[in-house]
Amino acid sequence: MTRLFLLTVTLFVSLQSVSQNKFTLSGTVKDAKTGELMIGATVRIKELTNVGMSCNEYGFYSLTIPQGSYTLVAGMMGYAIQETKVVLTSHLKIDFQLTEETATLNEVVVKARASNDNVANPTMGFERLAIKEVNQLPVLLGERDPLKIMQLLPGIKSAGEGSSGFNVRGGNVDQNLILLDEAPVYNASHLLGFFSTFNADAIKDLSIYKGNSPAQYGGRLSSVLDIKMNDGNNQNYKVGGGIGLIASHASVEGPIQKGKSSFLLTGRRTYADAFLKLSNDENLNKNTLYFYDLNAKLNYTLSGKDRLYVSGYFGRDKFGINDLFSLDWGNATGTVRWNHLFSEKLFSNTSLIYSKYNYEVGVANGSSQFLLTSDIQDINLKQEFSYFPNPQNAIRFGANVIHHTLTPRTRESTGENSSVNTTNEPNQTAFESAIFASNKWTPTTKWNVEYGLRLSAFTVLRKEGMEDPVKNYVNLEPRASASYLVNPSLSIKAAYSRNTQHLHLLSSSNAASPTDRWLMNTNTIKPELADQVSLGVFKNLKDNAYELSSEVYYKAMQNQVDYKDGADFITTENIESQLLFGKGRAYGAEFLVKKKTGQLTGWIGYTLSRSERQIEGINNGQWYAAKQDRTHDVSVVGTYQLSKKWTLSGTWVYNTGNAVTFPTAKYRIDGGVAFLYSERNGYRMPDYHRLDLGATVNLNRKANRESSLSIGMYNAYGRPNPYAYNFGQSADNPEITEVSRVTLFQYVPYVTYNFKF
Amino acid sequence: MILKHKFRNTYIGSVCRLLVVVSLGVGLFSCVETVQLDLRSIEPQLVIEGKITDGTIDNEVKITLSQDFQKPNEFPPITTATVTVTDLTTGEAELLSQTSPGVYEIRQLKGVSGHQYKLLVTYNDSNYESTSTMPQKVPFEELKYQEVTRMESNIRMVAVYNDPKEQTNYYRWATIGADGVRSRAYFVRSDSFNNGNRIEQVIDSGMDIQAGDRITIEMQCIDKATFDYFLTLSRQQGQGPNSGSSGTNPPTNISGGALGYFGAYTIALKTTEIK
Repeated sequence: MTRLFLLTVTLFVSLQSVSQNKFTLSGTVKDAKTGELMIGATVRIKELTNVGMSCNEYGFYSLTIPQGSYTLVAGMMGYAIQETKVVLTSHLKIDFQLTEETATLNEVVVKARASNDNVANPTMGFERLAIKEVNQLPVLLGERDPLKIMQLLPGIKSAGEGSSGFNVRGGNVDQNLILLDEAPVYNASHLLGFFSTFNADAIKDLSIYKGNSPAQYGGRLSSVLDIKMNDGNNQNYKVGGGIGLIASHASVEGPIQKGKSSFLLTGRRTYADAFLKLSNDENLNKNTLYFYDLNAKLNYTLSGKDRLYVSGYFGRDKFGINDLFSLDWGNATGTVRWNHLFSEKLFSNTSLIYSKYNYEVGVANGSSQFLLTSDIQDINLKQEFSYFPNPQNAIRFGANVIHHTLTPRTRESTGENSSVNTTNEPNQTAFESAIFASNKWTPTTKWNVEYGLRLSAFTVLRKEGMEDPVKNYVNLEPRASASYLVNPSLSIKAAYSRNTQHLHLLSSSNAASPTDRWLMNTNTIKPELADQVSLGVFKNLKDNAYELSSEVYYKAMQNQVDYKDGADFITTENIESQLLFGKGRAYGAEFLVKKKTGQLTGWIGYTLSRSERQIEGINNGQWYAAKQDRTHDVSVVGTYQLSKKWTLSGTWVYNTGNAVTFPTAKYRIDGGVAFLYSERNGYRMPDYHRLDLGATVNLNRKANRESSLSIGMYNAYGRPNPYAYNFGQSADNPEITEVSRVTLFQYVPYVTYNFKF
Repeated sequence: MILKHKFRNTYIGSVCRLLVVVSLGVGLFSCVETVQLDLRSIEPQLVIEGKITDGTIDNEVKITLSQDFQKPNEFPPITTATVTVTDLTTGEAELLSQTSPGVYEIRQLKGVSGHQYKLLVTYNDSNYESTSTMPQKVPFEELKYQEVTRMESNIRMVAVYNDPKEQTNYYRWATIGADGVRSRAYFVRSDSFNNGNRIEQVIDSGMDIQAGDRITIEMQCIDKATFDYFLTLSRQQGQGPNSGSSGTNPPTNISGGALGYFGAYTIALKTTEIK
């Protein structure tokens, strides 16, 4: 395996020609005000049309070009452009500090011209959102939530009303790898999924790859959502916060050493339970319901060549009904990263990553008194190199090893007269390892190609005290994408990628529950595999102010896991006996029009798609619509800068209803009425649509202070979108059955106040 | 406030109710209303419900047809079936006679723990078959009740018994109300969490129990097939935000394509008055 890896690297490197009179320009691009490293800022050489690059996730760039006199240009959307003249006769380190464009309408500012990067680069099925771009959009109860905004992009669909869960290109919710500073977050939802674990205060940037992720990512079939936390302001101390209807949040950040190192600390807590406490009803005020999040980050510049980042997240949900029932769940993640520059051309990052998700269910009902606990825990070591031999090639290679520990479910008897037996299912452990290499290659001004290979292995280790053999699954995952520039504003792209997944989430119902079970590969449960091909056209209009794109994709999935009809996950000891395996296919076309500059910004997205499964044992082995199969999906997102003070925003979404299973008939059993359900997913929920409106007024915007008030309304025209249908006997007449529709969130207003100084 | 009894008894339901309560504080709304759904109409299906007990009641086989969801709860009886029950342990067979439309009564055979019984229904030239073994009887020690407060206070019946350790036991608890009416709630439990222990089982009766009521609880020791059947049915009754998609049909132990089940089980009754 090592030999193969070395061979691959040698192959990549040997492609490069070595030239004597070339020198390297390298450095970082930062925000002048906060010192935050700018991911994706572009650095170009004015005199060389084909030479330029986007900064990596640590704001680093490196360009190796022949000696000479050049103008180096750095820019990013929303920031004033910066130029520096250089005479290149030796390696040079040049750092940029970009200043944010002020929100002035009349003044003439040197604007960073929108680039055609989206057209030229070979990446497909990719979107990046800076948190600043989306913070003013209206959201449920005013809780700014990056995951909700993400769901407004084509190909990404909300898993349900108000849900932070999402489906990418027909994939399941568990097929998304959600990374927070490289650490996987196993359950990204709070409070029945109405809120995500990502506190907007702590987040800098989100990128999503819809199945075409570069070779350094792996482990999930459908997408990688890569979320980066803010580094913390290294210029000034700042205190920020916000007061909303259901939660308040606060943040502190500042330099540890001015310009060199900084810290960030943010927290958020809901106070829904405060309303419960106010109630006079004893049955209510003894209940518990809240969640909180804490994010912390430190970054240290150790030397000109070394930088250290430490970041962590901790969040929990607490829910309880008197002393009868409690449910408590949450994630903890931690990441330590060390950036080291071996040379101007070779950037290294070493990460040590920890992630844990667990839940506890407490029950005290009669002699049923017990605590159920379950957790999944990862320790991950990752080494990655970026090598920039010349402007035509950017090579990335590395390796990582994850050690997974899964504690399926431990049941502990609590209380003296409990009749419950304590049990301890043995832990399952596994190693997930990978080596990878990729190259971003620009052979001519017309072609951009990114190709890579990931070799992944999943090694299931012996269970404690059991004689199971060690099982090893090895997969080769090729990834490639290419773009051809027809002219500077028009390109055609194509991509292929294979992904594998070794951890599977079993949900027994449509609504994701915190107690849904993670399973790992075993002898019976094989790795899920997906092959995706896509083709796209990208076109920019009016000096790149408008971005138009369309992609078509086809994804074939193997070894999909589903549960048997009537599966019992609670009392069954052998969970594998409740599972069925099959395949899936998803295909569709996505259209996106984006306007990135001017008073009015936003996008319109439309997706036409199908997602189907074929599983032996469900619907007689015929292909059937997956739950998330929605033919049409539209989203319209707009932000309008009315004046310096006022910003208006709105979103409108429309989609075909989910595929669901409803009863078609009923029959008498033991005096009661039983329902005869149709084939799996044989019905459709009604079409879903909703308009959200918002307005933000800047109350105070001086150089160093800002405060704003946001108001808005979720579901502004009160569409009664069904959250669920319940089937039962009429309360008034037990001789008839009826359907009741549960609707949540009609005309839900919000007010939030945010400040920073 | 509108999320009414539909959501009772389930954790998700409780969360929903809590959310609603919380939401009120912040002006949020949610509601439940009765709607019409365009549900398909299908060919009526044959439904067989066969029971043999160690007691004197409920020894019968009921045969009906299914009905469309939208129609009233009227299930046409099948009056022209031939029904036989055989005690496979002793070899004794009984041809059942119809006592009321669609009800075929077992008169001679007596349910005995450990005996295996076979049901054979012949209707329209098709055979429907099933077997069930009557489990060992577990003594019903005591019937109590207690007040349980979830979102609201309810009186819940509590059955006390000692679960035998040697085998896996399955129980079904049926509530018979003050007026002699059986609750339509399906409530089953297995001993998978508490094998071999003294158990105080709190029962979700699915009816309002008030002071002054005389409540009877019927304890049934059922076999695994009957347990699996009723467990799935009880999930159909549990309501939640599942958009109907977790709706599944119970696994039948009757071959030949009929709905329903055939179960041999023991019964024990206890009655108490709520003070």
